[in-house]
Formats: sequence, structure tokens, C-alpha cells
Amino acid sequence: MSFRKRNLVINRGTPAVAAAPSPVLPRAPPPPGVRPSPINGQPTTSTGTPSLDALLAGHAGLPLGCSLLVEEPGTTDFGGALLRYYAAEGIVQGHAVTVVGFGEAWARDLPAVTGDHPEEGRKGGAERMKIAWRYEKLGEFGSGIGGSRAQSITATPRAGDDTTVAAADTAAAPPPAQFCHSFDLTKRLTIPAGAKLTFIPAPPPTSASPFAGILATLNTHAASHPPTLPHRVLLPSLLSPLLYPPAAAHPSQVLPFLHALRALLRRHPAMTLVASIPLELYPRDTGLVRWAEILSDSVLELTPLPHRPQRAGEEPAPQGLVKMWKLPVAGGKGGDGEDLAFTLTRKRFEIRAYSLPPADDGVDRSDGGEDGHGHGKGKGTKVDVEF
Amino acid sequence: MSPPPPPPPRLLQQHRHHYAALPREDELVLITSVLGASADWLAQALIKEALTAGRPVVFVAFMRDWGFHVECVRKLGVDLAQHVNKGTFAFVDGLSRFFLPPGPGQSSNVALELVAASGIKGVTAGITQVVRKLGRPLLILENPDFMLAAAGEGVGALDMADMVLDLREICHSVIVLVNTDAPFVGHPRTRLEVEHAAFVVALGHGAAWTVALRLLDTGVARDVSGVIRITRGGEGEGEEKEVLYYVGDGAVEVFDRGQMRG
Repeated sequence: MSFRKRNLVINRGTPAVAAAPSPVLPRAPPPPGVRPSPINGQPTTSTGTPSLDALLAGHAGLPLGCSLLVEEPGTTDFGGALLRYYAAEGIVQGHAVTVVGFGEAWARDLPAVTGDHPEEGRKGGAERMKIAWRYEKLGEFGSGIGGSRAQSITATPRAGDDTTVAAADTAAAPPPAQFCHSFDLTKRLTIPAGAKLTFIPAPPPTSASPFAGILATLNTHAASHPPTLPHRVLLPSLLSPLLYPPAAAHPSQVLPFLHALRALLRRHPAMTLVASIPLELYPRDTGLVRWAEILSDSVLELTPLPHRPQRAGEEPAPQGLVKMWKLPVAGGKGGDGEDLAFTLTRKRFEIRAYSLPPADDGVDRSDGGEDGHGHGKGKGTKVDVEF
Repeated sequence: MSPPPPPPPRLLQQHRHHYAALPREDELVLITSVLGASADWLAQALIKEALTAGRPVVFVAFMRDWGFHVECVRKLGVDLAQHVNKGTFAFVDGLSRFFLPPGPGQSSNVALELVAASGIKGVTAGITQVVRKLGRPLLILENPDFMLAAAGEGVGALDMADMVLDLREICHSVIVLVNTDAPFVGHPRTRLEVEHAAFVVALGHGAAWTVALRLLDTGVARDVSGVIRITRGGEGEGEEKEVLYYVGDGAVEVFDRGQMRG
């Protein structure tokens, strides 16, 4: 059963991609940073985090016209890092970027592009040739999550070694630019002079309808861009009392706003939106947040774990768990039920499979810092044997 | 005068069609869904079912636009635009301009774009107008509960239930899709949750039967999207059943627990 399903997906993806250069229907090349989804040919753009792109239901990116809601409990700001990658990727690709609620200070903290291409891309490319295509969904060796195909496509147009058929198909459309860059959080992105970066300030604390102004400005911004130019909208810390007046959290204020954003995304098909919401103040088991989730196309929750000291020579332990509650596909299903964890390092935000250590090695567990690494390995070995 | 004879019991269809069986005259069917188990596909299956049976359909959508539904129904082999031209289908858009100021022109296939500012009375009047044009159609309301959530103090569960009753009077039958996530109906505390729960319960009592979509209780599986539970509502008869479903790439499979699938 599962075999047939995978077969289907590949078959559907390839003609859609191959159709692009056909002489019958000469289609304009997609704008930089946009490529068709391997599952249904929908144009997608990168979130700036390759492992998050890989999680989005096989689209290998965020489909244009879709929104992503990032939820995070506690006082950490891992979600903020995701939003910064998303904004930085947009600026590097020349997309229009609009930040709601913050001023230019927010953009000064954007991470800079690093010159070195992520080495797992090369590794993925090499791995591709060894693994039969139908096992690809099993994920990259060691990372344990599905969608290694996404990663290898990211890498191959640039590398000269794309001998595999699927990769050649993707490369048939001239590989103009990288789909997803890698960023360094410790360096600051210098924003080019021509960047289409705009800010919509937070509403004044006394305003009775705090979102009306934001919506009107956003609507004008969206209409002023050429319809094919990808437009990224960011709503960091939505409803946080630091930015929004208390009245904003009333359902009759925020729900119409989110509904209007949903309509705006449908009206401007080149637009994408990423919002983050602090779960500490607005828990998931309230009707308000559930409506916010229903009104988003995809929902991701980041739950930070208590910090563990890192031992020398080891990969860092995961800093939190990741839950995909909703994916941008027909049927709006959630994640595949895999346990996922994220690690935020200077170089990247990475989401990978997570499993608790076996119950018997209590010693290791009390030592700490072992689980993510040890289990990545264990899983890899198992896959190896089955193969 | 003797009361009319009771309607014959519903013929038990094969379960794969049971969930998408069309309501009979004057019946209300309630379809509930939760986050991660959306009922879009079921609404589309019902549209197809009704149009192939020759019954006109009015579809009122608050969460999705025309483009999405026309694409999904096309995969089922039905061209909605054609039915719009024939006058057997009407799409009422409750998303595009409901809270957003009007933009460039609307699609000619959309019968009406609802506007929140017109209030629940205006929305009801708009839908009524479209319904009357099609005679006595099947009316499908997708997530009218959103209107209740977003309207604030002005609109209560009672007003919403009244709206559904008003519309039932002029339609052949009505199908309502609502969200029944735990926060809405579990332990309602806020006004939003209390009103939502009251609306859903009121619909349930008036419904001939209820089709509830939910996720697997045992966790996520790759080849099962969720569970469909068909139960009699306050005014129905027929067999109650629980089946599994899987939303694949465009096609939906419905099967029993433990059934071998091809």
C-alpha cells in the first residue's frame, strides 16, 4: 500500500516539472526563489530553513498563497529565529517583505548569508545515487525525517554531479538561483539598497479597532507590487501585549483580521505569510487560538526543552520538540506522527527526528546530552540493515 | 385527519456511500470536523453526489474560495462552472470580501460575495435570494460557526440557529459543516466557546443524522487520515456506523477497521 502511494507521488511530480520547458506552453520562468512543488506543481518558496521546507507535506517549501502559524509556549524566542530566516531569505531572493508590528530595528537583527553551501546538501546528493528512489521518503541518513528529496533538489542544480533522472528534470528549467540559502545568526545581514522591505507599525495602545489600519496598509502594499513578485508578510508575536493593545485579543477583533488575511492570501497568489503567537498567554486549548489555527493553512508548535549541558565532541542535544498540527495540503492533515525536535545553532535551525533513549540506559540519560545524537545513529543503523 | 405515514426507513446503503448519502426532503445533516481532519472533501463529495442526482446545490463557504473548491470538484469529474451556467449550482463566497475591503472584480462564477458589515440579517437575506433563484436546492453551509465566533456580542447561538431554521424553510434540505474541536465543545468557558457549543448542540438536536470526522484515537497513521462516525441526530433513523478514511492525492478512500485495501 505504502509502496503504491509513493509511486503515485513521484509520477505526478515529474510531468508537472517537465511540462515547464515544453514549446506548446511556453511559461515564464518562475521568479527567483520559487519552484514548483514536487507533489502537485504548485509554486512554492523557501522558509529559509531547509528542514522546515522538507516538513511541509512534500511540497519542499511553503506554497505561495499559504500561511504558517508558529506557536511557542514559554519565554524563549525560537519562533523568532524561524521568522528571521524567512525574512532574510526573502530579502536575499529580492522578494517583497513586510513586517507587521516592528520597526527597522527588527530587520537589523536578520542573519547574514554564509558563503559555504550547507554540506549536507552535497552529502544528500551523493547519497541519492546510492539509495533507490523509492526509499527516499525514508529520509536522509541519520536525520530520520522524510523529504530528503527536497534537500537533494536544493543542492543538485548547483552541483555538477546531477546524474540522476529526477534531478536532471528539475535542472531542465535553468537553475537560476539557489532555492534556500544558509544563514549565520551571529552575522548581520546588510540589507541591499533596493530591498522591498516595508514595516507596518504596531497599532496605538488606545485604538479601538487595532487591526483595521494594519489591514488597510497591507492591502495597499500587496496591490502595489507586481502580481508575480513573491511577497512575504511577517506577523511576529501576534497579540503579544508588548505590541498590541488588550482589545486586540478579543475574538471580534483578531478573528476578522485573520479571516481577512486569509482572503488577502487568496486574492494575491504570490503572497505568503508567517505569524508567531505566544502560547503562554493564549493557550492552545482556547477557542480563540483554535480559530487562529483553523484560519491558517499550516500550524507548527515549538515546545522548548530544559537546557542540557553539551559535552565536547557531541552533537548538541535538541532544544525543543516540534509538532506539525496542520499541513498545507488538501484535507488539512497534521504531521506524520513522527517525533520531531529542533536544534538551533549559530549556523542553522534544524528539525530532525527525535526519540527518547531506551528505558534501560538510565545511566546515559542521567548524564544528559546523549539522546538526539545516539538515536539518530541507532535509527540509521536499522534502516541500513533493512535496506 | 390522520397523521401522514412515517417515511420508510432509510435503505442501508453500502457504508462507502452512507457517509455521503444525500439528506431527504426537509432534513438537516450536521457534519463536524476537527483540526487535522477537515471536512472539505466530504462537502465536495456531497456536491458531486447531489449534482449527479439532478438536485441543484447552493454552497456557502466561509473558509475556502471558489478556486479551491472548483479545482477539487473537478478532480471528482464534475465541472462546477458548467453547472453554474446551467443554473444548477451557485457558490456564495463568505471569504473574499467578508472582512476584506473589495479588490479587483469578482469571478463571474460566484453568485454572491457576503459582507460581514451587513450583519446576520444581511447574510441570511443574501443566501435566501440565491436559494430562491435555484428553486428548492440542497443548501450546504461551510463553517457558519465562524460568523458566530467573529461577530462578537452582536450575534448569539440563537440567532445562528434561527438563520439555519429560516434557510431550512426554503431549501429542499440543508447540510451544515461545523468545527467541534475540544476547545469549542469540551469545557466551554469564554463567551466564544459557550456560544459555539450551544450552536453545535442546537444543530445536533435538529439534525437527521450527524457525520463526525475526527483523528484516529490511537495516534497518527500514515495510511489512515481519520475516523468517520455516522450517528442519528435528534430526528433521524438508520444505521449508526464508524468507518476509517484516507485522503490521498485527490482521491478519498473509505474502509472498515481491519479491512484489506487494494
